[in-house]
Amino acid sequence: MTARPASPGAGNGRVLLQRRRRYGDTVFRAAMLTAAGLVVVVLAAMAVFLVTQSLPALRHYGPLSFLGSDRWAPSDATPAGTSPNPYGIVQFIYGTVLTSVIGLLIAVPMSVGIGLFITGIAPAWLRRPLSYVVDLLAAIPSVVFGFWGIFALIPALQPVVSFLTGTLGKIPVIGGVFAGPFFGLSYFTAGIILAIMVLPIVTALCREIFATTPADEKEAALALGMTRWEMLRTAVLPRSRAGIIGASILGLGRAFGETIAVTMVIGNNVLSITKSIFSTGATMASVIANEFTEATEPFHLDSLFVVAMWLLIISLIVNVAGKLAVRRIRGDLA
Amino acid sequence: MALAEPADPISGTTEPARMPGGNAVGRIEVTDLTAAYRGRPAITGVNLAMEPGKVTALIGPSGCGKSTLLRCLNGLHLIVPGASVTGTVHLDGTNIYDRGVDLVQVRRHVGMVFQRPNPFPTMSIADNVAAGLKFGPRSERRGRKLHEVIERSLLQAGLWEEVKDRLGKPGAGLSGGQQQRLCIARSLAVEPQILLMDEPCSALDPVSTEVIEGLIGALKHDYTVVIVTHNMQQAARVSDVTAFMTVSSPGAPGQLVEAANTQELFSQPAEQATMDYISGKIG
Amino acid sequence: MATSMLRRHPGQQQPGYSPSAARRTRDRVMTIVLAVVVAIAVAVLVWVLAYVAAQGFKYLSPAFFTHTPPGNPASYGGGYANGIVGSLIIVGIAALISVPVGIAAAVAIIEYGGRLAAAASFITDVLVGVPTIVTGAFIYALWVIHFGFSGLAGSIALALVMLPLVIRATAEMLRLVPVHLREASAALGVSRARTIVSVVLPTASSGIITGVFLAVARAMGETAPLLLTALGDQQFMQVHPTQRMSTLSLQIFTDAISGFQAAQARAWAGALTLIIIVSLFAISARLISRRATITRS
Repeated sequence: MTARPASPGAGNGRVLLQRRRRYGDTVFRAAMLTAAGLVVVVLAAMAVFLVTQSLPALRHYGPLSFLGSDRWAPSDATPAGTSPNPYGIVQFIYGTVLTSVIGLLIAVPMSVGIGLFITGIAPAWLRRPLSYVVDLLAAIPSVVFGFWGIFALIPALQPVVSFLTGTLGKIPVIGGVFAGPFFGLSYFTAGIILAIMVLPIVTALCREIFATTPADEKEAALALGMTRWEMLRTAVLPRSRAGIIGASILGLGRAFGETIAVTMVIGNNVLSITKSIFSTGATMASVIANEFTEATEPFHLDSLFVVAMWLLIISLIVNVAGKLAVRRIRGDLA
Repeated sequence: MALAEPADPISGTTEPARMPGGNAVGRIEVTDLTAAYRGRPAITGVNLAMEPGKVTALIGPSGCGKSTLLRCLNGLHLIVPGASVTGTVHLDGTNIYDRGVDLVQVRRHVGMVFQRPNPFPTMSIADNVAAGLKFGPRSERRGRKLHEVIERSLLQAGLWEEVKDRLGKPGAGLSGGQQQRLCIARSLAVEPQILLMDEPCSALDPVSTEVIEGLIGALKHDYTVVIVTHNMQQAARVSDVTAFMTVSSPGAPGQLVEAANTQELFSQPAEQATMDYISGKIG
Repeated sequence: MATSMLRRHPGQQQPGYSPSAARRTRDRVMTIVLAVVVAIAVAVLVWVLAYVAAQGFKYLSPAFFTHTPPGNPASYGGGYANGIVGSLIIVGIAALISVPVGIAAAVAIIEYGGRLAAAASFITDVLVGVPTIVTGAFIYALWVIHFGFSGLAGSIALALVMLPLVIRATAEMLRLVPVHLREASAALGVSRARTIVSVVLPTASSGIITGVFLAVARAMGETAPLLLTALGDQQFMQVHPTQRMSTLSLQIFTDAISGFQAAQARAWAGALTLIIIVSLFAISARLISRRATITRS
């Protein structure tokens, strides 16, 4: 005997008419949105706290004085003295930018080359393993790179750099940039390590960008009788230009923020800007890492927060610019 | 098919409840229904009644809005952001789009089976069938034994014999036709009065299609069935009432042209447009 | 590929279409150049791993995992037991903080949407690019100033590093859950919240776990933020997160630049250990993402 399911309102416990106050749904939704709100709050708090901690130094010396001097001499600081500002941060900005640019100059061409090879030349079975291997570089922790940099990279660089200082270092006018002596720890060494660390992400992005080239454009080029290299150069590269730039900007952002590996190989010469790329220096990240826990001088810690604040600002600008450039090609969380 | 009587969770008796005044249970009446996505109407001015104990088929060329109409019957149309509805859909006298009505509750009365079978991939066959009960309001679980419900639903869906020994196996491991019957069982487990089917056989092979069409014939005794199909022969085979929808021009909102007993509609349609569609001139 | 039929074979009489010898040479040369570039990248990876392995194995032994460093850094012997335990505790707590918040935020972004969620989505991308030393400085200002250096402070800093990674991975997985599963659940009369918890999240679960493991692998390797928060107790085992704690990464850092050969030897072993641990997490992540979803009955 079959029974019909009871109808609404017929006493089976289901009533259509009441708007059920869905507490469960409302609470759940609120909880999820709170978590999302937390993310926003975190970034805002970061900015607020950094500025707040920098405020004493900013007020004492005046905000612009930090950017006006490249001399960082905490031992010169006195509680009363306000000028000159002993905490000039220009050389840190210089160090950050210089090492990152060196890194990019090396990494970007390589990434483009590797990307072209993987998407355009390598046989299908080789693509995944190759991509995987390059990605593996990203998994190596920063401190390991720094360690290896000191004991393996620097000895290997000695002969190369001696050659460069001997040749490029002798050229009039720009020779100063390549002058010796080279003691291992230097902007240049840091730049090379940054190149290695930035390579995986720029390569991955280039791979994605090159892979979006429509197959028929590539086939049309080949059908015209172009060699494979010519096809890559005319069908893949030109349309990828914007993407490559975006990837480079993102790589730059990553390089700006790299701390430990750079700290270990740059020499931490905080006094002022040194001209040669083969001499020791410091970056914004490295000075914070080095001096933070021993910042006992007047306004020392506060000034380090000024450095942190500026580091955050330039990192954010570069990363947002990079994201916007790349987002047009691959959607992230959009 | 021998089916166990579901116990009434309030009184504990197994007597089916009756409405005063007869057996009218699961009647849908659509009045002047217009459904739109972000302001652009997909269907306009639909008037249609679907009777319990009958299978109503919605046919028409692609893009005529038959799926949209179907989704308006259980409020699923409104899940898409920016969607809106005007007009009424009365379910046994209650307008489901009334302010006071909870659409989630409505869907306990109106089940739906989709074009592509979609069993929950992380759950076993038994868990799939029981999902509606397990994740639904506690009050409906009282007095019900899950394994009885599972067996009853699978029997109703004609799947019990094939899976009774492997209820713990993943639902995704079945064939297409079996998966669709699993989805039917899943819908039936919450004891709706009405079953909506959106082209349930279009992704299946002919043998599975035949099995499910046979199932529909059996289900109509206990449920009101509304089926959307692009296959006219199927509509002729399974339905008692057929409603024909079409668009006046590409991009225009869909409209209900006519609805009549299936026999009548296919042999002597009242409208020329229907005639054109049936004879293959359009569509 | 159809183009292989169209590609002109050398020697075929098609003046102007068949690549000259010079162009063919250039093609070959460039192919070699690109292959060399790839080889250099691979060679660097092998060089780093081989060097660390060579130096590390010299000193690695079971005692390394069970002993703490000797009192005098110049003497050989001892190990990084305290750092390893510290790493596991600090990263563990960081995961406990970042994973629920991260999953919830991703649910808000993908399932609910709205302006707050869109802002969170954008800011998540931004947070990925924040230098970890800055995160450390932030937590110093927020927490350490009031409560002192501690493993817990380190955990909070690492949680901030992991959070955007977890959100990104979860969001990507949630997006992959087909719409028709959500519809099927809704059609059964299951509430929105229950649909997300019982249908959507379980379907996305293996991918989410993969993302979490990768975030953990990343966090295990972090040093910079911990310099400013957990600070490290180089010598003794410490399991209370409210105290200063050492981590593997901190110990490697300190010993690597210490100038003592014995300390450096320990650091190499530590570096090898760290790479092994990070690899274990990363490999587990890949294995999890490959397994088919299992039934729960």
